[in-house]
Amino acid sequence: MLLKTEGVEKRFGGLVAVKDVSITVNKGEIFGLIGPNGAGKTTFLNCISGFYKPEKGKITFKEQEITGLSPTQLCHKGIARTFQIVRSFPKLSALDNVKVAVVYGGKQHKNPEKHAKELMDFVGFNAAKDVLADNLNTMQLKRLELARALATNSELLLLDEVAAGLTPSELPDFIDLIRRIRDSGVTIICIEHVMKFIMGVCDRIAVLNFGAKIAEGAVEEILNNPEVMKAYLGEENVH
Amino acid sequence: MDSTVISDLLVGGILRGGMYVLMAMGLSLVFGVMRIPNFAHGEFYMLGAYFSYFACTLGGFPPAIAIVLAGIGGFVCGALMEKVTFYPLRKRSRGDWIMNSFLVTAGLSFILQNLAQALVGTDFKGVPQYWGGSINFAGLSVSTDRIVGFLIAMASVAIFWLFLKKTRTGNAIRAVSEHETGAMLMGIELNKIHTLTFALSSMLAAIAGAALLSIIPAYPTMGLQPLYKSWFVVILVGLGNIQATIIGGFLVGVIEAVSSFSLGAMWQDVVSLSIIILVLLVKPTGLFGKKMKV
Amino acid sequence: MISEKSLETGFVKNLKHNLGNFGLSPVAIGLFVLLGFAPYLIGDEYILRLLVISLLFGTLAMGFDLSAGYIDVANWGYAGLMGLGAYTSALLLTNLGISPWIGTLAGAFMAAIFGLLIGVLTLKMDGMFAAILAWFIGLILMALTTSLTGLTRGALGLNVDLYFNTGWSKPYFYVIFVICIVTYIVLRRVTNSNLGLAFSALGQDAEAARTCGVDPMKYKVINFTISCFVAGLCGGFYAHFMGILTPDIMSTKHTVEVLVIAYIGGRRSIWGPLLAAFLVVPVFEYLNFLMEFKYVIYGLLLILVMIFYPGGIAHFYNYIVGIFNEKKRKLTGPESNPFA
Ligand SMILES: Nc1ncnc2c1ncn2[C@@H]1O[C@H](COP(=O)(O)OP(=O)(O)O)[C@@H](O)[C@H]1O
Ligand SMILES: [Mg+2]
Repeated sequence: MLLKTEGVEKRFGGLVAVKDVSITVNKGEIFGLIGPNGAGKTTFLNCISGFYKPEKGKITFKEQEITGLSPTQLCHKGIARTFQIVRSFPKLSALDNVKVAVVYGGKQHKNPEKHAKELMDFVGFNAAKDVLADNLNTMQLKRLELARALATNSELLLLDEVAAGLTPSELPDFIDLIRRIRDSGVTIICIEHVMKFIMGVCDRIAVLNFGAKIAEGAVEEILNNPEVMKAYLGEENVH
Repeated sequence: MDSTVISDLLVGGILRGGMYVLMAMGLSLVFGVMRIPNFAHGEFYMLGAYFSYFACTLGGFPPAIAIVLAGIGGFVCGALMEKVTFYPLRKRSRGDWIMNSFLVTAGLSFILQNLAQALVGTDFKGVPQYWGGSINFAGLSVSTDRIVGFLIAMASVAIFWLFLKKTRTGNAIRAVSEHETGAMLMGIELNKIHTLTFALSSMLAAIAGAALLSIIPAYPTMGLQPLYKSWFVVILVGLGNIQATIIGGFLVGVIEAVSSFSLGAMWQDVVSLSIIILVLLVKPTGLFGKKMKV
Repeated sequence: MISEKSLETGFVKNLKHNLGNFGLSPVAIGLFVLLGFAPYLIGDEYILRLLVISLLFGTLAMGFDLSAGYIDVANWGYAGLMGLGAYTSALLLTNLGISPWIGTLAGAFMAAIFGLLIGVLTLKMDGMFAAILAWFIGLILMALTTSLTGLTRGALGLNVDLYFNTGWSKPYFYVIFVICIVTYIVLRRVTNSNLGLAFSALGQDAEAARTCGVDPMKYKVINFTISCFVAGLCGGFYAHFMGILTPDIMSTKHTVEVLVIAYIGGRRSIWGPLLAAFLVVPVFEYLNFLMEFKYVIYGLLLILVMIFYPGGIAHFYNYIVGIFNEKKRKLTGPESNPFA
């Protein structure tokens, strides 16, 4: 067991965005998090990565309680993330974007630049490495963000809709990349809508609806679960 | 402290606070709707004072009309400046909006201040009195001009508030401050709303400057104090929270009255600032602030 | 012979690389050397004094750029901190007889300590909040300086002994010249290092920087402290160069002057603001006869730069270099790899 959340709850004023969510993620897994828009997936991820402090509940990482730690501390403990809307340092070169994470990610490297370049090659970043991030397209930024997340020596990687916006032809390549990342020893939690992606990579998935977890289990099992169908399609379509 | 001193301070603080409310409201509105931290807000206060002065002396208008004219003048100047500066800035902006617009307002402030200095000179331009006389109030004698100035401020705040809450245009302004893209999708014309917002905010500041002309004469750099006082208020209660500026304005007014009475005028800013910093340490979003969306 | 030649180019390359570490390109060195001889080339006292003031403003603008350009906090209390440095050094000299040289450093450290405190208090907040709070603190410093007449003589002004027994600008030129070069090298070095990487990351996307493991408070406070140190250092020089100090040195309009120079020069470059000082200061000196209209032009310039070219000179330079490199790449690309 690598990560465990117990009864996590996050409110925004009156709105309960995440309600009593408990999941367990094992080492080496790719764990999917699905649910309709506004279900609270991103908010839940923000709780794990320290951007929000949950009102209730406990989060444990490697047998250590991490509830309420800052993103910086969590990064140093080995949790990395990407953002639903890609973020970069627009006026730094692509290489420097990754180098920041190599230098400050928590592990010393003899040659940060070399390590950053290797990671960029690993994620298939194909543009020139000295180009400003401002001039990259979304696809390149997505790969850059992945490289940056890996650069912090993460053991757990939180991905928020990385496959969104990919064309069908780009998808297999990306699925392959996510698998390779897992094979390099990184456990992954990914929020995803793209079914092909979920079925292609996830070992287990959990479903959120209105902030609450309504199901968890192996992929086929979940996708055939009537309650999940209901959440996605609305009541009347099930029958 | 005996009770007359306390009521003296309270009345003084509230009278002062009324003006801060008027100033801070416009500042907060412009930030809420346009995301502009306005550094030139005090210059519209200065413009208002000059407008009223010239309306009274050159135009020979009665005080009430002079103040209304100053308000209109502020509105027109505000609208013009929005069209000439922020509109093109927004068109061309690629990120860094808050900082860049802040610097533009700093430029505006520089221009208006020094133009005033060049054209009208640095000497005080005031009127000895608007209405004159004094009114006995809670055992204190307060000058009529102060009371009327305060009432004008409160009336403007109330009218403005009703405008925001009850009219279609007011609702549109609030919608933009809640969610710009959403408002745009609802068919609200952002450009018009922006111009209107800036003009209204400038108008409120101009009214404040005009209403106080008999107490504080007009001079080119007179905008600095009200500017940072209203920033005090806005930061104390939380940026973009227009409702709370009403409480904040009075709060700062009273705090200042008390601190300047007990420690001397030179300490009043030090005290206000220390309080603000303490508040922000405990609650970084201000007393009544919402956390801004990530 | 071949080996000798490659040895030489190797050495030159190495030297270039080492100098590059200090942010010194051959052009920069050339300009600095030329500037160093200026007092011998220029006989005119008036122009020399103008150069001193340009160097002063250039150094101030570089320090300002460290915060404004890198962590995106425009320090609106900058003039207040410069004044703090100036008064510290002046008061140490007049009251305790401490040498102006030590006083200048003491003033710089005083400003840095203040900067550290301001930073710890305000940098938790958004850049703009920090900017405005720093401004408040600057205003308070000015109010205190004006009011504590027993110590500072308030608006009457404080007479300060100069560094040297002469009013001629030449020796002062070399003092500010050294301050400027050292500041330039240190700031270039800092911003080109990993520290600079953290500054840039925080300034451009604080949230992403945090997920990369950058501790926001730590690096922002470091940045702000260094920037305030520069302000204090320049303040000390100002005191012993001008010979008289009034609280006006702390007024917001001086912050705006530095800021205009920094932004015309271009954010996030260090050299841009320095270069801009040599353009802006003499031009505005020349425009002195315009009186207040000079500041109107200042304001207009700021607005125009913000609307039409917020990147400033440095950005323009990078743009040109970008085009040039692109051309070079296109020209040499296929040539260097004939089999591709
Ligand atoms: N910072 C916030 N403030 C207020 N409400 C928020 C905030 N972030 C998310 N929400 C609300 O919480 C709910 C869950 O949002 P989110 O986690 O983004 O959903 P998902 O990622 O599953 O689409 C939504 O109703 C959203 O409007
Ligand atoms: Mg989401």
